[in-house]
Amino acid sequence: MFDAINNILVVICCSVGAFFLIVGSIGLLRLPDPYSRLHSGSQCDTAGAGFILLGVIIHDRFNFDSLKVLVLLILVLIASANIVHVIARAVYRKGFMPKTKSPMPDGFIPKDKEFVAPKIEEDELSDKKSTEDIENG
Amino acid sequence: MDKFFEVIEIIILLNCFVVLYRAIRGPYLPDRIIAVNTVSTKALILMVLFAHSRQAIVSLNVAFVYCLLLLVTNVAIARYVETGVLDV
Repeated sequence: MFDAINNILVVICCSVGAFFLIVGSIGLLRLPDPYSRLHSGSQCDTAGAGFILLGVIIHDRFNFDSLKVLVLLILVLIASANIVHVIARAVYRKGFMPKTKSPMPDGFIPKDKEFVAPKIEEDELSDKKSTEDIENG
Repeated sequence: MDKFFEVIEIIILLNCFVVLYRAIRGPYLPDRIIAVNTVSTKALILMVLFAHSRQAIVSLNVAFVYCLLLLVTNVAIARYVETGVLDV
């Protein structure tokens, strides 16, 4: 009886996690700009990884190994949220315009050109250029 | 129950190839970063599932180190996107 309930819980948790991973990758393919892609990527990370690791913990019962997986689950939740926040802040400060009609906040300096990946050139490695970039963005 | 975990592993592997399309043909730099980040998180889940279903506990320890490296490298890459310079 207990085994049956345990297996049902594991199947539900892992299926929901796999569903979230599939939805996240579809969103990563089809959404228009990097902000919304970051949204779908973070959802994929937190919900999918969280549910699948939870299923592994339930299937393992209470071991030393399942304790390890629990610590890894907390670590993944903290790390992925911080990663997405840091990347989104970098993209925002670089001045990328999202595809929206609503007004942007005051400190935002939009670039009319599309976002261009920054290149390192030997002359631009001086402090002057980099401080200008920081002040602008 | 082992068959079920194998099915989940195969689904995650196929997802990795779907996301790699965005990493190869992303128009901007942040798209590639997001795609590679997603693929590496999927690799972490695969390590845990592998450790559980094949009784290879060593790859659980590998997953710990992989998660910490993921955090540090992504912060460094975001700094590179923001300033354009990779100084540590």
